[in-house]
Amino acid sequence: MSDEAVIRVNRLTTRFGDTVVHDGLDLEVRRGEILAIVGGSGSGKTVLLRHMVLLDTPRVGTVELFGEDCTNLGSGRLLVMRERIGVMFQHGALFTGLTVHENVMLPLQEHTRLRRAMIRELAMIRIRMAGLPAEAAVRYPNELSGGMIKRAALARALALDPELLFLDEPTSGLDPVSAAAFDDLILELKSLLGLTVVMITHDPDTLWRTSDRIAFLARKRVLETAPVAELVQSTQTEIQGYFAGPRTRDRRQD
Amino acid sequence: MPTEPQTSRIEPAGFVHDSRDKVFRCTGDWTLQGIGQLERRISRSRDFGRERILDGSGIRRLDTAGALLLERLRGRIAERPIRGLSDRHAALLSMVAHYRGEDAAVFRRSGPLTRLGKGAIDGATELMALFTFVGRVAADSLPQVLLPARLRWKQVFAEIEHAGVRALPILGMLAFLTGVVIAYQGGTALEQYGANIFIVDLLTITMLREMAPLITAIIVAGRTGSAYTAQIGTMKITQEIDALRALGMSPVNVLILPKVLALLLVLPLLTLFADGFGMLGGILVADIMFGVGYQDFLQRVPAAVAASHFWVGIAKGPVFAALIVTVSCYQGFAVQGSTESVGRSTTRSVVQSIFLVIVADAVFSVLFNLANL
Repeated sequence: MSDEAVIRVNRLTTRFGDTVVHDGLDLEVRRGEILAIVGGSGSGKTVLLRHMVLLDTPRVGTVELFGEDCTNLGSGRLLVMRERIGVMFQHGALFTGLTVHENVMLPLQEHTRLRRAMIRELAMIRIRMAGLPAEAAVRYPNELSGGMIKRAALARALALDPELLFLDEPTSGLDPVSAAAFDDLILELKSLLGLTVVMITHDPDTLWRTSDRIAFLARKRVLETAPVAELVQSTQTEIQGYFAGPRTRDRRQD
Repeated sequence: MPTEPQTSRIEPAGFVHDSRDKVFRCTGDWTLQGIGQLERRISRSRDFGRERILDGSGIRRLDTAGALLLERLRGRIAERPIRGLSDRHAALLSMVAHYRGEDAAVFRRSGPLTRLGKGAIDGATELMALFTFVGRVAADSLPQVLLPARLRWKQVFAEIEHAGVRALPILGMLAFLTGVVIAYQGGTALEQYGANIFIVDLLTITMLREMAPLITAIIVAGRTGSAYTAQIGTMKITQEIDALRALGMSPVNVLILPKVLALLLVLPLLTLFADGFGMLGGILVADIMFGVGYQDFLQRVPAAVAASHFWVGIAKGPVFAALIVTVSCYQGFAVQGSTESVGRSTTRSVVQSIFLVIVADAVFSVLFNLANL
C-alpha cells in the first residue's frame, strides 16, 4: 500500500431539501487498500458512494479520482474515468433481459474494439474468477440465487479491468459461508489485480477480515478513518456505540 | 505491494521478433486499452512459427485482458513458459490460465427442429394458460360477486375514475372528429344526388352502431389495458403478488375483480359519451356545410333510424370490456422475471386486445344480421 491517494473527497456538502446529509465531508482513499465505509442507517454512505462513482455531482465540494477533479468533467474524460472504475450495486443491478455472460460482455463490447471471440473468453474468465460455474453464464438473472447474483454483479464490475472497485454491501443477504467465501474472493482479486477497493458494509466479519481501514460516518462527516483494531479503541461516543453492540464487538478474541 | 507506473498515457502493446535467436520480445501496455491493435494483428496473421521463446520482461503494464492475449499468443508459438515476467505479472498470468476453460458446450444452441417443436409446445401451453387463467378468475370471483358487500368497492370506484372519467377528454375529442369526418365524406357523396337529408341515416347508423363502440374499445385497450398489464407485471417482478398471496389475499380479488367490474360498467357509459360527441360533430358539419339544420336532423333521427342500432352499439361495450380486461390481466400475470418482459407483455396486451375487439365486432355484425337487428 502506498500513501498516494486515489480518491480524495474535499469539503463535500449534500442536502436533499432541508435535510443535510453531508456537511463538509473529507475522505481519502489510498492506492491498493480496502477501505470500508460504515455508519448507521441514513448516515449518507450510499450517497457518498454515488458521488465517488460519479453518478451524482457535488453541489458544494469536490471529488478527485486519480488526482483529477471530477466535478466538471467533459463527457469524453468522464468516459475514460468510468472505464477505470468498477461498481457492484447492492442488489446486483444486472440487466434482467440479458444472460450473465451477456451482462459481462456488454461493457467490453461497448468500450473495446476486441474481437468477439476474445470478448467471449474474457467474459467467461471474469465469470469463473467471480466464483460462478460456467453453466451459470447462460442463465438469466431471475434464474440465479442471491449469492450468484452478487457474484455475477462482481464479474460485471470487473469487466473492464478497473483499478478502482466499489462494492455496495457485497455480503448482505448471503449466508455466512458464502459471505466468507466472498470476502476471500475480494482479498484474492485485490492482491492479484492490484485493485483499490471501497466498500459499504454492515458485516462485522467482512470489516475484520478484509478492510485495511475503516471510514466511520457520523454527524454528517467522516468522524474517523483508521484500521478496525484502532477504531474499536476510539473515544468517540458514536464509534464506541457502534462497536459495543453484540454483533460488532472485537472479533480478535474469538 | 508493487505498483504499476501511473502515467495515464497508453503505450500500445506489441512485440519485436528477433529471428536469429527465435525470441519474441513483448513491449508496452498489455491492458484492455492497449491491446486493441495487437489483438487484431495476432488473430489475423497465420503463422509465427513454433518453438519460439516469449520474453515478457519489456511489458510495462499487464491486466487480465492482456494476460489472456499473452496466453493465447503463447499457445500458438511457444511451448515453454514466458520468461522474464515480473512476479506480479506471472501470478496474474497463471490466474488467467487457471480460469480459462472449454466453454463451447455451455453455449451450444439447439437445432431448428428442436426450436420448432419447442415453439409449438410453448404456443399450446400459452393457450392452455389463458384458458386456465379465465377459469380460475371466474371460479375465484364468483363467490365474491354473489356477496356484493364484500367487494372492494373503493377500488372499483378508483378504477372507474382512472379508466372512465380520465378518458373522457381524449375520447370526446376523437369521437367528435370521427363524426365530423363521416358527415363530411358521406355528405359530399350524397350532395351529388341532392339527398342531403340522408346524412342523418348515414351518420347515426355508422356512429352509434360501429364507430363509437370501436373507438371507445380501442382507446380503453391502449390507455387502460396497457396500464393494467404494466402494473400487474411490475408487481409480479417485485414479488408484490407473492406478498399478497402470503398475506392471505387473493390477487384475483384484489387486482382483477375490481378492474373487471369497473371496465364492464365503464365501457358502455364511455360508448354513450362517444355517441353524443360523434353525433355533435356530425350535426355541426351537416348544418354548416350541407344545409341540414339541427332541428331537421334531430327530428329525423327517431323516424329514420331504429332504436336497435343504438342498443346494439351499447351492448357491444361489456363484451369488449371483458376481452380487454382478460387479455391485459392475463398478460400482466404472464410476465416472467425481467423488466424487458414487462415491455413485451404490454405490447402484446394492446395488440391482442385491439385484434380481438375487431374480430368480435365482425362476429357481431354477422350475428346481428342473422337476427335481423
